[in-house]
Amino acid sequence: MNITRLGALALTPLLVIACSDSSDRPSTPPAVACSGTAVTPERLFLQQLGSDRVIIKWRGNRDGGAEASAVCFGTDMSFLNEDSLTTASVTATGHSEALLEGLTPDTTYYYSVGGAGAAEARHSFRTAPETGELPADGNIRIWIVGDSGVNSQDNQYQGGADLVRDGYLGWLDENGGEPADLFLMLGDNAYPEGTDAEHQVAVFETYPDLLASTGLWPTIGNHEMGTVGASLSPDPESYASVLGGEPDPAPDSPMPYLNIHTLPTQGETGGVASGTEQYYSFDYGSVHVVSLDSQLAARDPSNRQAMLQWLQDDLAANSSDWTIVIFHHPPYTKGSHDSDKPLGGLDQPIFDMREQFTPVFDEYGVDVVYSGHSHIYERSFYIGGHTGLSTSFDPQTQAELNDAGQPASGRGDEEYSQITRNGTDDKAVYTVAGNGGKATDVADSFPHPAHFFSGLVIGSVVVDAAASSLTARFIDDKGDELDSFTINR
Amino acid sequence: MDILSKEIAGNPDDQGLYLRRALAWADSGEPAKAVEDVEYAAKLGDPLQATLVRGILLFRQQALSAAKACFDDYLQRYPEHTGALSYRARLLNDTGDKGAALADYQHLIQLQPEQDPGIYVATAQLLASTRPDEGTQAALALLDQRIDAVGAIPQLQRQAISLEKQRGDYAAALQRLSTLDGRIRATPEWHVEAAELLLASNDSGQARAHLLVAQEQLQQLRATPARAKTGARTQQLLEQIDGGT
Repeated sequence: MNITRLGALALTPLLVIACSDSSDRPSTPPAVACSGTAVTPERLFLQQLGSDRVIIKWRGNRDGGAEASAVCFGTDMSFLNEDSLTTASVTATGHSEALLEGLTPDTTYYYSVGGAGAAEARHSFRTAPETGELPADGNIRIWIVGDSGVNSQDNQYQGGADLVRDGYLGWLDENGGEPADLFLMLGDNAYPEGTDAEHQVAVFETYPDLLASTGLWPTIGNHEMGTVGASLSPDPESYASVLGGEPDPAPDSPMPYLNIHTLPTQGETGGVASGTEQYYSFDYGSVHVVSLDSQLAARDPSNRQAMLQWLQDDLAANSSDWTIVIFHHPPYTKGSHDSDKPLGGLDQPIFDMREQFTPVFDEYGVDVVYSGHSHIYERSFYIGGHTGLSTSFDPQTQAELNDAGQPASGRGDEEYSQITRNGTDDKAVYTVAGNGGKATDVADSFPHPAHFFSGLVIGSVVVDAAASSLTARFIDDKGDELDSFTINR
Repeated sequence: MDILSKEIAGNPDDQGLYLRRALAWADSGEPAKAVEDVEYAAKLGDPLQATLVRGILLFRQQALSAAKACFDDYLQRYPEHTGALSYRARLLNDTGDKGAALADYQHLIQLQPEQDPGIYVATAQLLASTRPDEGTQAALALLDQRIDAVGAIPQLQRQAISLEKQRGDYAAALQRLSTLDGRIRATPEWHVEAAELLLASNDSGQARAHLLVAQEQLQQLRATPARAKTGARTQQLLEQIDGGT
């Protein structure tokens, strides 16, 4: 403490002199722009985009030169200060990742991979608002696609993800143009095996502009499991070849999905620390998002129970206005998969998630649940307590009803109220959106009785979370809105 | 399936392709065709290479004894194959061979410490159940070892709390409870848990204080069934304390 006082006293005369003659005032060094060269990576995406941090991640150089090793960033796209130069670390699979911290909430930043002094407009992102808050525009927009990995597979569905993306962008153009704040992928992001090379085509070359500007938050699908196709293994190592016991070489070992993504394990962007990238949660302003692992963790009883324990703690600690849960295997579907059939074990997670996890969603006030796997769009009523086969669904007790005593649609004067007729937040809307690239077929007993709307058409979902309402829309590849519902709070 | 069949047509002697298609058949609910491919693959080269997939198929059909024989054979050649070890550990646990399951889980963790938290919990439970006293200590040590690496995540620390409660060490349980994520410690549920442990330690004064905090928090939060249960439990414990004093 004494040293501090002495220091303050010693500085005083200097301050007096400086103020007495402006010509002697120490000048602030002029700001200097970054002086690196911009590089266009082969893949570029944003991870863990929160209110005060983001990870800019990239690999490769489209022009064939050296890869970038740093980024510069700032709020003025024409001037990126050299003080912002941030060196990236390099992962075992050759991805560079630059962690930017200390950012201002709800603020647009521009960045240059390679550390140039100015940025392209498309290389920008907006930080999340503070937890519990809304952004300046009053709305959090979320774009959701499922099973979109068709572009990496040489069959009749190739190109379907482009159509879905363009349909969404067309809808945006006609509806105010507000870009998405979050990009959620529901699994099966790269067909058929989820290799690193397939991710390049199906993810990074399909959504390059979106990925450069919007935080990406995925969940694991069964096609992220590689050559062994060992859909029943709870172990990421099962991606390794079935022959010889030797693991596949990098970048495909232990599992490309986990190699590619840098997902929160310690609650870096809100939510309770999970200790694993396979499942996690985060806050984005007034929205809490939980990504569960219905493919790996769910397949082992011990791992599933551990994930369930974490979920209960995470949701108990969540007081956000809106709560969204994503995972791959849909609890209720009658599309290309049937939630009444375990399909030789492949679809056992459908049963386990429905029987063990949906009661937790009811208990802890989850609002909406999104899954893929079934190549169709299906949207439920506002339901709770339905853990059995489709034949056991009882709309009178398990769905929120309209004035006529029928399950309410969620539209018009049948919009849902977050607090249900039971006087508590005990229901959720379940949506299957495994049609982000292909819509294939329906089960014999289509449609599921818990569903209000089903459509065998490709498309994606747009969720708008505002102060007093959450509205979700299904947008097809033509840019047309085919379904919507609203929950009010 | 079409892709694999096309690849097989172009490479009819590729053992691996048949094994991949076998798993794809199984995933499509066609176990007979899966077995057919496995058996054919076994004739195309080293028969042992088909053993892991055969074991997986048998495990899926709950033919546990036959599946174990397959995993045993495979692990004899490839003792460090974590996928096969994981399958066998789970199988052994399911069939009640706790000692052998524990050995496989421990081997799995030794080979690949970055295991799912559930593997650590399962191993800790086996340790505690197979050797009641020293086993509990070893289980807690294992959990703490992983907690040191990944933090006091609830999956691990709650198992440790459960073990501390089982052996009656409520102070240790309370200390562990206090290391949980700050977001968890800010919930009414956490305050009720703290109160329960304090009551078990005969500290009704502090327990009451926690319950009052929980009660106040619940009034500010949106109503959910879980919070209603917490509210009821809070009330019950308060009445228990007030009735006792």
